Amino acid sequence: MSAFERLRLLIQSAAVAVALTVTAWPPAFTDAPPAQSIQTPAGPAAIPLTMPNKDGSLKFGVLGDFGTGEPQQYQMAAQIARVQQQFKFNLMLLVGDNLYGSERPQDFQVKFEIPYKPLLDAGVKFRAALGNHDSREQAKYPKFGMDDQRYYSFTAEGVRFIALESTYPELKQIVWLEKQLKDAREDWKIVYFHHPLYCSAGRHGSDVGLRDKLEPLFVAYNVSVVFTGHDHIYERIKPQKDIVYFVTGSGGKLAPGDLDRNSPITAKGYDAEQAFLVAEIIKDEMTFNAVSRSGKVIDSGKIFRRQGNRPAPSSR
Amino acid sequence: MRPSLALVAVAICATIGCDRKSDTPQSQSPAEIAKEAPVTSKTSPELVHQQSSLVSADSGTVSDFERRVKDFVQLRDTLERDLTKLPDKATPIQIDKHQRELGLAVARSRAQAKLGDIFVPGMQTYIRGVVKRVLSGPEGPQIKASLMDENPMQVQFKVNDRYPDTIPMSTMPPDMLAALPPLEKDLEYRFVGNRLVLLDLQSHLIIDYVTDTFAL
Repeated sequence: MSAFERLRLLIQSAAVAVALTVTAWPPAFTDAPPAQSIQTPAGPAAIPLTMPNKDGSLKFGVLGDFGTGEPQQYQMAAQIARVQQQFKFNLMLLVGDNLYGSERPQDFQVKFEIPYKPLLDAGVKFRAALGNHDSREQAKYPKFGMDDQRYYSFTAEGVRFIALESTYPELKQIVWLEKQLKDAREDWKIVYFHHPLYCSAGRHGSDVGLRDKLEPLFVAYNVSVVFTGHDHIYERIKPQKDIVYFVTGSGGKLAPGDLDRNSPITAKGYDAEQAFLVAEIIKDEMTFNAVSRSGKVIDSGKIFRRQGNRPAPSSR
Repeated sequence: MRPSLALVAVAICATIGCDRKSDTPQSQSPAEIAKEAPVTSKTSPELVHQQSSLVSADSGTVSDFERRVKDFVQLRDTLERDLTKLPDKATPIQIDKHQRELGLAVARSRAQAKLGDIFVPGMQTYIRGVVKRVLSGPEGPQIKASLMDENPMQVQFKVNDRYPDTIPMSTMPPDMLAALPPLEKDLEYRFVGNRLVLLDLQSHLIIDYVTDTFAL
Protein backbone atom coordinates (compact mmCIF):
# COMPACT_ATOMS: atom_id res chain seq x y z
CA MET A 1 0.00 0.00 0.00
CA SER A 2 1.41 3.38 -0.95
CA ALA A 3 2.00 6.15 1.57
CA PHE A 4 -0.70 8.17 -0.17
CA GLU A 5 -3.19 5.29 0.16
CA ARG A 6 -2.37 4.90 3.86
CA LEU A 7 -2.89 8.61 4.42
CA ARG A 8 -6.21 8.54 2.55
CA LEU A 9 -7.47 5.62 4.67
CA LEU A 10 -6.35 7.33 7.84
CA ILE A 11 -8.26 10.48 6.98
CA GLN A 12 -11.36 8.51 5.97
CA SER A 13 -11.28 6.45 9.17
CA ALA A 14 -10.92 9.54 11.31
CA ALA A 15 -13.79 11.21 9.47
CA VAL A 16 -16.12 8.26 10.10
CA ALA A 17 -15.09 8.05 13.73
CA VAL A 18 -15.74 11.72 14.29
CA ALA A 19 -19.03 11.65 12.41
CA LEU A 20 -20.31 8.72 14.44
CA THR A 21 -19.15 10.15 17.72
CA VAL A 22 -20.74 13.49 17.09
CA THR A 23 -23.93 12.68 15.23
CA ALA A 24 -24.91 9.07 15.60
CA TRP A 25 -25.46 8.55 19.30
CA PRO A 26 -27.59 9.31 21.15
CA PRO A 27 -30.22 9.43 18.44
CA ALA A 28 -32.53 12.38 18.19
CA PHE A 29 -35.74 10.87 19.54
CA THR A 30 -37.59 12.04 22.55
CA ASP A 31 -37.94 8.50 23.83
CA ALA A 32 -34.40 7.49 22.92
CA PRO A 33 -32.11 5.87 25.47
CA PRO A 34 -30.55 8.29 27.95
CA ALA A 35 -27.76 10.39 26.53
CA GLN A 36 -24.38 8.94 27.11
CA SER A 37 -21.00 9.84 25.74
CA ILE A 38 -19.43 7.20 23.56
CA GLN A 39 -16.16 7.17 21.78
CA THR A 40 -15.39 5.18 18.70
CA PRO A 41 -12.67 2.76 19.76
CA ALA A 42 -9.26 4.04 18.80
CA GLY A 43 -7.95 0.97 16.96
CA PRO A 44 -5.19 1.03 14.40
CA ALA A 45 -5.28 3.65 11.66
CA ALA A 46 -6.02 1.06 9.03
CA ILE A 47 -7.43 -2.28 10.08
CA PRO A 48 -4.85 -4.93 9.14
CA LEU A 49 -7.14 -6.95 6.91
CA THR A 50 -5.68 -9.84 4.97
CA MET A 51 -8.23 -9.96 2.18
CA PRO A 52 -7.25 -10.27 -1.49
CA ASN A 53 -9.51 -7.26 -2.22
CA LYS A 54 -9.62 -8.01 -5.95
CA ASP A 55 -11.74 -6.09 -8.43
CA GLY A 56 -14.81 -8.03 -9.53
CA SER A 57 -14.80 -10.53 -6.66
CA LEU A 58 -17.80 -11.10 -4.41
CA LYS A 59 -17.22 -9.25 -1.15
CA PHE A 60 -19.65 -9.47 1.73
CA GLY A 61 -20.01 -9.11 5.47
CA VAL A 62 -21.81 -11.19 8.11
CA LEU A 63 -23.32 -9.72 11.25
CA GLY A 64 -25.59 -11.12 13.92
CA ASP A 65 -27.37 -10.32 17.18
CA PHE A 66 -26.71 -6.64 16.83
CA GLY A 67 -29.83 -4.47 17.22
CA THR A 68 -29.48 -3.31 20.80
CA GLY A 69 -29.25 0.43 20.22
CA GLU A 70 -26.51 0.52 22.84
CA PRO A 71 -23.09 2.14 22.61
CA GLN A 72 -21.31 -1.15 21.93
CA GLN A 73 -23.44 -1.70 18.83
CA TYR A 74 -22.56 1.78 17.63
CA GLN A 75 -18.87 1.21 18.28
CA MET A 76 -18.95 -2.06 16.37
CA ALA A 77 -20.84 -0.32 13.59
CA ALA A 78 -18.12 2.32 13.39
CA GLN A 79 -15.50 -0.39 12.91
CA ILE A 80 -17.63 -2.04 10.24
CA ALA A 81 -17.76 1.28 8.42
CA ARG A 82 -13.96 1.54 8.65
CA VAL A 83 -13.59 -1.96 7.25
CA GLN A 84 -15.96 -1.11 4.42
CA GLN A 85 -13.78 1.86 3.46
CA GLN A 86 -10.79 -0.43 3.05
CA PHE A 87 -12.66 -3.41 1.69
CA LYS A 88 -15.62 -2.35 -0.42
CA PHE A 89 -18.12 -5.05 0.33
CA ASN A 90 -21.61 -4.26 -0.91
CA LEU A 91 -23.59 -7.07 0.69
CA MET A 92 -24.21 -7.73 4.39
CA LEU A 93 -25.82 -10.95 5.60
CA LEU A 94 -27.71 -10.58 8.86
CA VAL A 95 -28.07 -13.81 10.80
CA GLY A 96 -30.91 -12.65 13.04
CA ASP A 97 -31.79 -10.86 16.24
CA ASN A 98 -31.79 -7.72 14.17
CA LEU A 99 -33.74 -5.73 16.75
CA TYR A 100 -33.84 -6.42 20.47
CA GLY A 101 -36.67 -5.25 22.69
CA SER A 102 -39.33 -3.03 21.24
CA GLU A 103 -39.77 -2.77 17.48
CA ARG A 104 -41.48 0.55 17.20
CA PRO A 105 -40.83 2.48 13.99
CA GLN A 106 -38.19 4.57 15.73
CA ASP A 107 -36.41 1.41 16.85
CA PHE A 108 -35.66 0.62 13.23
CA GLN A 109 -33.79 3.89 13.14
CA VAL A 110 -32.04 3.75 16.52
CA LYS A 111 -31.05 0.11 16.23
CA PHE A 112 -30.37 -0.10 12.50
CA GLU A 113 -30.55 2.94 10.24
CA ILE A 114 -28.47 5.30 12.34
CA PRO A 115 -25.61 3.00 13.35
CA TYR A 116 -25.25 1.58 9.84
CA LYS A 117 -25.88 4.83 7.99
CA PRO A 118 -22.35 4.91 6.51
CA LEU A 119 -22.96 1.44 5.06
CA LEU A 120 -26.42 2.31 3.75
CA ASP A 121 -25.02 5.50 2.25
CA ALA A 122 -22.24 3.48 0.62
CA GLY A 123 -24.85 1.30 -1.09
CA VAL A 124 -24.37 -1.83 1.01
CA LYS A 125 -27.40 -4.11 0.59
CA PHE A 126 -28.50 -5.89 3.74
CA ARG A 127 -30.11 -9.33 3.49
CA ALA A 128 -31.60 -10.43 6.78
CA ALA A 129 -32.59 -13.70 8.35
CA LEU A 130 -34.91 -13.58 11.35
CA GLY A 131 -33.89 -14.53 14.87
CA ASN A 132 -36.02 -15.46 17.85
CA HIS A 133 -36.12 -11.84 19.02
CA ASP A 134 -37.34 -10.57 15.65
CA SER A 135 -40.97 -10.02 14.79
CA ARG A 136 -42.07 -11.44 11.46
CA GLU A 137 -43.05 -8.00 10.24
CA GLN A 138 -39.35 -7.26 9.71
CA ALA A 139 -39.70 -9.27 6.51
CA LYS A 140 -41.66 -6.33 5.08
CA TYR A 141 -38.98 -3.76 5.94
CA PRO A 142 -37.30 -2.92 2.63
CA LYS A 143 -33.88 -2.19 4.11
CA PHE A 144 -33.62 -5.78 5.36
CA GLY A 145 -33.93 -6.99 1.77
CA MET A 146 -36.30 -9.86 2.50
CA ASP A 147 -39.06 -8.99 0.01
CA ASP A 148 -41.69 -9.99 2.56
CA GLN A 149 -40.33 -13.54 2.71
CA ARG A 150 -39.31 -15.16 5.99
CA TYR A 151 -37.01 -17.52 4.10
CA TYR A 152 -35.64 -16.84 0.65
CA SER A 153 -32.71 -17.28 -1.65
CA PHE A 154 -30.76 -15.06 -3.99
CA THR A 155 -27.69 -15.13 -6.17
CA ALA A 156 -24.80 -12.69 -6.08
CA GLU A 157 -21.80 -12.98 -8.40
CA GLY A 158 -22.51 -16.64 -9.05
CA VAL A 159 -22.92 -17.54 -5.39
CA ARG A 160 -26.23 -18.93 -4.12
CA PHE A 161 -27.23 -17.58 -0.73
CA ILE A 162 -30.13 -19.07 1.21
CA ALA A 163 -31.63 -17.40 4.28
CA LEU A 164 -33.74 -19.54 6.60
CA GLU A 165 -36.05 -18.84 9.51
CA SER A 166 -34.67 -21.28 12.04
CA THR A 167 -36.98 -20.28 14.90
CA TYR A 168 -39.89 -21.85 13.05
CA PRO A 169 -38.52 -24.61 10.83
CA GLU A 170 -41.78 -26.14 9.69
CA LEU A 171 -41.81 -28.92 7.15
CA LYS A 172 -42.87 -26.57 4.36
CA GLN A 173 -39.66 -24.62 4.83
CA ILE A 174 -37.52 -27.76 4.84
CA VAL A 175 -39.14 -28.92 1.62
CA TRP A 176 -38.57 -25.48 0.10
CA LEU A 177 -34.91 -25.55 1.21
CA GLU A 178 -34.32 -28.88 -0.45
CA LYS A 179 -35.79 -27.65 -3.71
CA GLN A 180 -33.61 -24.54 -3.60
CA LEU A 181 -30.48 -26.56 -2.98
CA LYS A 182 -31.39 -29.17 -5.56
CA ASP A 183 -32.14 -26.62 -8.27
CA ALA A 184 -29.19 -24.34 -7.56
CA ARG A 185 -26.66 -24.41 -10.38
CA GLU A 186 -24.11 -22.20 -8.65
CA ASP A 187 -20.79 -23.69 -7.52
CA TRP A 188 -20.97 -21.98 -4.16
CA LYS A 189 -23.92 -22.53 -1.85
CA ILE A 190 -23.98 -20.58 1.39
CA VAL A 191 -26.80 -20.89 3.91
CA TYR A 192 -27.42 -18.55 6.84
CA PHE A 193 -29.89 -18.45 9.70
CA HIS A 194 -30.05 -17.77 13.41
CA HIS A 195 -29.68 -20.95 15.47
CA PRO A 196 -26.27 -22.64 15.27
CA LEU A 197 -26.06 -26.31 14.36
CA TYR A 198 -22.65 -26.38 16.01
CA CYS A 199 -21.57 -24.03 18.76
CA SER A 200 -19.37 -24.18 21.85
CA ALA A 201 -21.01 -21.40 23.83
CA GLY A 202 -22.51 -22.22 27.21
CA ARG A 203 -25.73 -20.25 26.97
CA HIS A 204 -27.45 -21.99 24.04
CA GLY A 205 -24.90 -24.18 22.27
CA SER A 206 -25.58 -26.48 19.34
CA ASP A 207 -29.19 -26.94 18.23
CA VAL A 208 -29.08 -30.67 17.69
CA GLY A 209 -32.74 -31.02 16.70
CA LEU A 210 -32.33 -28.48 13.94
CA ARG A 211 -29.08 -30.12 12.91
CA ASP A 212 -30.89 -33.43 12.43
CA LYS A 213 -33.17 -31.74 9.91
CA LEU A 214 -30.78 -29.47 8.04
CA GLU A 215 -27.37 -31.08 8.01
CA PRO A 216 -28.32 -34.03 5.76
CA LEU A 217 -29.50 -31.54 3.14
CA PHE A 218 -26.36 -29.41 3.45
CA VAL A 219 -24.18 -32.49 3.05
CA ALA A 220 -26.16 -33.98 0.20
CA TYR A 221 -26.44 -30.78 -1.81
CA ASN A 222 -22.95 -29.50 -1.46
CA VAL A 223 -23.29 -26.52 0.86
CA SER A 224 -19.81 -25.19 1.62
CA VAL A 225 -20.34 -22.61 4.36
CA VAL A 226 -23.04 -21.91 6.97
CA PHE A 227 -23.35 -18.69 8.98
CA THR A 228 -25.38 -18.51 12.20
CA GLY A 229 -25.69 -16.43 15.38
CA HIS A 230 -27.85 -16.73 18.54
CA ASP A 231 -24.97 -17.24 20.96
CA HIS A 232 -23.26 -13.93 21.58
CA ILE A 233 -19.77 -14.95 20.64
CA TYR A 234 -17.67 -15.46 17.53
CA GLU A 235 -16.74 -19.01 16.66
CA ARG A 236 -15.43 -20.82 13.61
CA ILE A 237 -16.14 -24.51 13.85
CA LYS A 238 -13.76 -27.14 12.57
CA PRO A 239 -15.22 -28.52 9.32
CA GLN A 240 -18.12 -30.85 10.09
CA LYS A 241 -18.82 -33.32 7.30
CA ASP A 242 -16.71 -31.01 5.12
CA ILE A 243 -18.85 -27.94 5.86
CA VAL A 244 -17.48 -24.90 7.66
CA TYR A 245 -19.84 -23.35 10.23
CA PHE A 246 -19.48 -19.89 11.72
CA VAL A 247 -21.27 -18.40 14.72
CA THR A 248 -21.31 -14.62 14.34
CA GLY A 249 -23.64 -13.68 17.16
CA SER A 250 -21.71 -10.84 18.75
CA GLY A 251 -22.50 -7.91 16.47
CA GLY A 252 -24.00 -5.93 19.36
CA LYS A 253 -24.72 -8.32 22.21
CA LEU A 254 -21.78 -10.04 23.86
CA ALA A 255 -21.46 -12.93 26.30
CA PRO A 256 -17.93 -12.54 27.62
CA GLY A 257 -16.36 -15.77 28.79
CA ASP A 258 -19.22 -17.91 27.46
CA LEU A 259 -17.09 -19.96 25.07
CA ASP A 260 -15.99 -23.39 26.21
CA ARG A 261 -12.22 -23.13 25.94
CA ASN A 262 -11.88 -26.92 25.76
CA SER A 263 -14.45 -27.52 23.04
CA PRO A 264 -13.12 -30.05 20.53
CA ILE A 265 -15.09 -28.50 17.66
CA THR A 266 -13.71 -24.96 17.90
CA ALA A 267 -11.26 -23.91 15.20
CA LYS A 268 -11.21 -20.34 16.51
CA GLY A 269 -13.31 -18.62 19.14
CA TYR A 270 -13.54 -15.10 20.50
CA ASP A 271 -15.76 -13.73 23.24
CA ALA A 272 -13.82 -10.78 24.60
CA GLU A 273 -15.45 -8.17 22.35
CA GLN A 274 -18.14 -7.77 19.72
CA ALA A 275 -17.14 -8.99 16.26
CA PHE A 276 -18.31 -9.35 12.68
CA LEU A 277 -16.93 -11.03 9.62
CA VAL A 278 -16.03 -10.10 6.06
CA ALA A 279 -15.49 -12.56 3.26
CA GLU A 280 -14.40 -12.56 -0.36
CA ILE A 281 -14.97 -15.26 -2.93
CA ILE A 282 -12.65 -15.70 -5.87
CA LYS A 283 -13.26 -18.82 -7.93
CA ASP A 284 -13.08 -21.77 -5.53
CA GLU A 285 -11.69 -19.88 -2.56
CA MET A 286 -13.37 -17.87 0.15
CA THR A 287 -11.07 -15.70 2.23
CA PHE A 288 -12.42 -14.38 5.52
CA ASN A 289 -11.42 -11.98 8.28
CA ALA A 290 -13.28 -11.53 11.55
CA VAL A 291 -12.87 -8.07 13.03
CA SER A 292 -13.50 -7.03 16.64
CA ARG A 293 -15.09 -3.90 18.06
CA SER A 294 -11.65 -2.42 18.70
CA GLY A 295 -10.50 -3.13 15.15
CA LYS A 296 -8.42 -6.28 15.69
CA VAL A 297 -8.48 -9.04 13.12
CA ILE A 298 -9.31 -11.92 15.42
CA ASP A 299 -9.58 -14.70 12.87
CA SER A 300 -8.66 -15.17 9.25
CA GLY A 301 -8.29 -17.94 6.72
CA LYS A 302 -9.36 -19.52 3.46
CA ILE A 303 -12.08 -22.02 2.74
CA PHE A 304 -12.22 -24.02 -0.45
CA ARG A 305 -15.65 -24.76 -1.77
CA ARG A 306 -16.93 -28.30 -1.71
CA GLN A 307 -16.87 -29.92 -5.10
CA GLY A 308 -19.36 -32.72 -5.51
CA ASN A 309 -18.68 -35.45 -3.05
CA ARG A 310 -15.01 -34.63 -2.84
CA PRO A 311 -14.07 -33.35 0.59
CA ALA A 312 -12.54 -29.97 0.05
CA PRO A 313 -12.74 -27.41 2.82
CA SER A 314 -9.61 -26.65 4.69
CA SER A 315 -9.11 -23.60 6.78
CA ARG A 316 -6.46 -22.23 9.00
CA MET B 1 -21.06 -33.95 -9.64
CA ARG B 2 -24.61 -33.89 -8.22
CA PRO B 3 -25.14 -36.18 -5.26
CA SER B 4 -26.99 -39.33 -6.19
CA LEU B 5 -30.41 -39.80 -4.67
CA ALA B 6 -29.22 -43.05 -3.16
CA LEU B 7 -26.58 -41.17 -1.23
CA VAL B 8 -29.17 -38.69 -0.12
CA ALA B 9 -31.41 -41.46 1.12
CA VAL B 10 -28.52 -43.04 2.98
CA ALA B 11 -27.68 -39.71 4.57
CA ILE B 12 -31.19 -39.15 5.83
CA CYS B 13 -31.54 -42.75 6.94
CA ALA B 14 -28.44 -42.37 9.04
CA THR B 15 -30.15 -39.44 10.69
CA ILE B 16 -33.64 -40.77 11.18
CA GLY B 17 -32.74 -44.30 12.21
CA CYS B 18 -31.82 -47.42 10.29
CA ASP B 19 -34.95 -49.35 11.12
CA ARG B 20 -36.75 -47.29 8.47
CA LYS B 21 -34.08 -47.87 5.85
CA SER B 22 -35.56 -50.94 4.23
CA ASP B 23 -38.90 -49.20 3.73
CA THR B 24 -37.40 -46.13 2.09
CA PRO B 25 -37.50 -46.05 -1.69
CA GLN B 26 -34.18 -44.81 -3.07
CA SER B 27 -35.88 -42.26 -5.29
CA GLN B 28 -37.11 -40.22 -2.33
CA SER B 29 -35.46 -37.01 -1.33
CA PRO B 30 -34.60 -36.18 2.30
CA ALA B 31 -37.50 -33.78 2.59
CA GLU B 32 -39.90 -36.33 1.14
CA ILE B 33 -38.65 -38.87 3.63
CA ALA B 34 -39.06 -36.35 6.42
CA LYS B 35 -42.59 -35.69 5.22
CA GLU B 36 -43.42 -39.34 5.52
CA ALA B 37 -42.12 -39.53 9.08
CA PRO B 38 -43.14 -36.24 10.56
CA VAL B 39 -43.46 -37.29 14.19
CA THR B 40 -39.87 -37.15 15.30
CA SER B 41 -36.62 -37.66 13.48
CA LYS B 42 -35.71 -40.66 15.58
CA THR B 43 -39.10 -42.05 16.43
CA SER B 44 -39.52 -45.75 16.97
CA PRO B 45 -42.01 -47.57 14.72
CA GLU B 46 -44.18 -48.23 17.79
CA LEU B 47 -44.44 -44.52 18.48
CA VAL B 48 -45.37 -43.80 14.88
CA HIS B 49 -48.07 -46.45 15.15
CA GLN B 50 -49.35 -44.96 18.41
CA GLN B 51 -49.62 -41.55 16.81
CA SER B 52 -51.38 -42.89 13.73
CA SER B 53 -53.99 -44.51 15.96
CA LEU B 54 -54.44 -41.34 17.96
CA VAL B 55 -54.75 -39.19 14.86
CA SER B 56 -57.31 -41.60 13.51
CA ALA B 57 -59.32 -41.63 16.76
CA ASP B 58 -59.15 -37.85 17.08
CA SER B 59 -59.53 -36.95 13.43
CA GLY B 60 -62.94 -35.37 14.10
CA THR B 61 -61.44 -33.16 16.78
CA VAL B 62 -58.61 -32.07 14.53
CA SER B 63 -60.96 -31.41 11.59
CA ASP B 64 -63.12 -29.28 13.84
CA PHE B 65 -60.02 -27.34 14.93
CA GLU B 66 -58.98 -26.81 11.31
CA ARG B 67 -62.44 -25.53 10.47
CA ARG B 68 -62.30 -23.03 13.36
CA VAL B 69 -58.86 -21.86 12.23
CA LYS B 70 -60.10 -21.46 8.67
CA ASP B 71 -63.05 -19.39 9.91
CA PHE B 72 -60.65 -17.12 11.74
CA VAL B 73 -58.44 -16.66 8.68
CA GLN B 74 -61.48 -15.79 6.59
CA LEU B 75 -62.55 -13.18 9.13
CA ARG B 76 -59.07 -11.68 9.31
CA ASP B 77 -58.65 -11.57 5.54
CA THR B 78 -62.04 -9.88 5.16
CA LEU B 79 -61.12 -7.27 7.74
CA GLU B 80 -57.75 -6.69 6.12
CA ARG B 81 -59.33 -6.00 2.75
CA ASP B 82 -61.04 -3.00 4.34
CA LEU B 83 -57.70 -1.48 5.35
CA THR B 84 -55.43 0.60 3.16
CA LYS B 85 -53.09 -1.75 1.34
CA LEU B 86 -49.46 -1.56 2.38
CA PRO B 87 -47.23 -0.13 -0.35
CA ASP B 88 -44.46 -2.36 -1.68
CA LYS B 89 -41.80 -0.18 -0.11
CA ALA B 90 -43.56 0.32 3.20
CA THR B 91 -41.75 2.15 5.95
CA PRO B 92 -41.62 0.79 9.50
CA ILE B 93 -44.21 3.40 10.46
CA GLN B 94 -46.62 2.19 7.76
CA ILE B 95 -46.05 -1.46 8.62
CA ASP B 96 -46.60 -0.89 12.31
CA LYS B 97 -49.71 1.21 11.72
CA HIS B 98 -51.21 -1.36 9.37
CA GLN B 99 -50.60 -4.21 11.78
CA ARG B 100 -52.05 -2.38 14.76
CA GLU B 101 -55.10 -1.32 12.76
CA LEU B 102 -55.69 -4.90 11.73
CA GLY B 103 -55.15 -6.05 15.30
CA LEU B 104 -57.78 -3.62 16.55
CA ALA B 105 -60.23 -4.62 13.85
CA VAL B 106 -59.77 -8.32 14.58
CA ALA B 107 -60.04 -7.85 18.34
CA ARG B 108 -63.16 -5.72 17.93
CA SER B 109 -64.75 -8.16 15.55
CA ARG B 110 -64.24 -11.11 17.90
CA ALA B 111 -64.64 -9.21 21.12
CA GLN B 112 -66.51 -12.12 22.70
CA ALA B 113 -63.74 -14.60 21.94
CA LYS B 114 -62.50 -16.50 24.96
CA LEU B 115 -60.00 -19.16 25.90
CA GLY B 116 -60.96 -22.46 24.29
CA ASP B 117 -62.97 -21.11 21.37
CA ILE B 118 -60.52 -22.52 18.86
CA PHE B 119 -58.71 -25.03 21.03
CA VAL B 120 -61.95 -26.58 22.30
CA PRO B 121 -61.65 -28.96 25.29
CA GLY B 122 -61.22 -32.04 23.08
CA MET B 123 -58.52 -30.31 21.09
CA GLN B 124 -56.78 -29.16 24.26
CA THR B 125 -56.60 -32.78 25.40
CA TYR B 126 -55.28 -33.78 22.00
CA ILE B 127 -52.60 -31.07 22.03
CA ARG B 128 -51.48 -32.00 25.54
CA GLY B 129 -51.24 -35.59 24.40
CA VAL B 130 -49.12 -34.67 21.39
CA VAL B 131 -46.78 -32.51 23.46
CA LYS B 132 -46.46 -35.19 26.11
CA ARG B 133 -45.68 -37.84 23.54
CA VAL B 134 -43.03 -35.77 21.80
CA LEU B 135 -41.39 -34.77 25.07
CA SER B 136 -41.38 -38.29 26.41
CA GLY B 137 -39.81 -39.71 23.25
CA PRO B 138 -36.14 -40.53 22.92
CA GLU B 139 -35.32 -36.95 21.92
CA GLY B 140 -37.62 -35.47 24.57
CA PRO B 141 -35.04 -33.84 26.82
CA GLN B 142 -33.31 -32.23 23.84
CA ILE B 143 -36.61 -30.99 22.40
CA LYS B 144 -37.66 -29.56 25.76
CA ALA B 145 -34.32 -27.81 26.13
CA SER B 146 -34.80 -26.30 22.70
CA LEU B 147 -38.29 -24.98 23.37
CA MET B 148 -37.25 -23.63 26.75
CA ASP B 149 -34.40 -21.70 25.13
CA GLU B 150 -35.29 -18.04 25.74
CA ASN B 151 -38.88 -19.10 26.36
CA PRO B 152 -40.63 -16.06 27.86
CA MET B 153 -41.99 -17.74 30.97
CA GLN B 154 -43.94 -15.39 33.22
CA VAL B 155 -45.88 -13.28 30.77
CA GLN B 156 -49.54 -12.48 31.38
CA PHE B 157 -51.89 -12.32 28.41
CA LYS B 158 -55.38 -13.26 27.31
CA VAL B 159 -57.12 -14.11 24.07
CA ASN B 160 -57.12 -11.19 21.59
CA ASP B 161 -54.08 -9.56 23.24
CA ARG B 162 -51.21 -8.42 21.08
CA TYR B 163 -48.24 -10.78 21.45
CA PRO B 164 -45.99 -8.77 23.77
CA ASP B 165 -43.59 -6.65 21.75
CA THR B 166 -40.72 -6.95 24.12
CA ILE B 167 -40.43 -10.71 24.48
CA PRO B 168 -38.63 -13.04 22.09
CA MET B 169 -40.33 -15.78 20.16
CA SER B 170 -39.65 -19.20 21.60
CA THR B 171 -37.90 -21.59 19.26
CA MET B 172 -40.17 -24.28 17.87
CA PRO B 173 -38.26 -27.56 17.63
CA PRO B 174 -38.82 -29.18 14.23
CA ASP B 175 -40.04 -32.43 15.79
CA MET B 176 -42.67 -30.60 17.85
CA LEU B 177 -43.89 -28.67 14.81
CA ALA B 178 -44.11 -31.83 12.78
CA ALA B 179 -46.29 -33.49 15.42
CA LEU B 180 -48.80 -30.63 15.70
CA PRO B 181 -51.61 -30.19 13.15
CA PRO B 182 -50.49 -28.01 10.22
CA LEU B 183 -51.74 -24.43 10.27
CA GLU B 184 -53.12 -22.03 7.73
CA LYS B 185 -50.77 -19.43 6.25
CA ASP B 186 -49.73 -16.65 8.64
CA LEU B 187 -50.67 -18.55 11.78
CA GLU B 188 -48.07 -20.04 14.06
CA TYR B 189 -47.73 -22.08 17.22
CA ARG B 190 -45.48 -20.65 19.92
CA PHE B 191 -44.77 -21.68 23.48
CA VAL B 192 -44.94 -19.05 26.20
CA GLY B 193 -43.94 -20.88 29.34
CA ASN B 194 -45.90 -24.11 29.03
CA ARG B 195 -48.80 -22.48 27.21
CA LEU B 196 -49.10 -23.26 23.51
CA VAL B 197 -50.18 -20.07 21.80
CA LEU B 198 -51.90 -19.74 18.43
CA LEU B 199 -50.47 -16.55 16.99
CA ASP B 200 -51.78 -14.63 13.99
CA LEU B 201 -48.81 -13.05 12.26
CA GLN B 202 -50.81 -10.51 10.28
CA SER B 203 -52.43 -8.90 13.30
CA HIS B 204 -49.82 -10.07 15.82
CA LEU B 205 -52.67 -11.20 18.08
CA ILE B 206 -52.93 -14.21 20.35
CA ILE B 207 -55.95 -15.97 18.92
CA ASP B 208 -56.20 -18.75 21.48
CA TYR B 209 -53.94 -20.91 23.63
CA VAL B 210 -53.72 -24.16 25.55
CA THR B 211 -52.56 -24.06 29.16
CA ASP B 212 -50.34 -26.56 30.97
CA THR B 213 -49.14 -28.46 27.95
CA PHE B 214 -46.17 -29.84 29.88
CA ALA B 215 -44.68 -29.78 33.35
CA LEU B 216 -42.27 -26.93 33.88
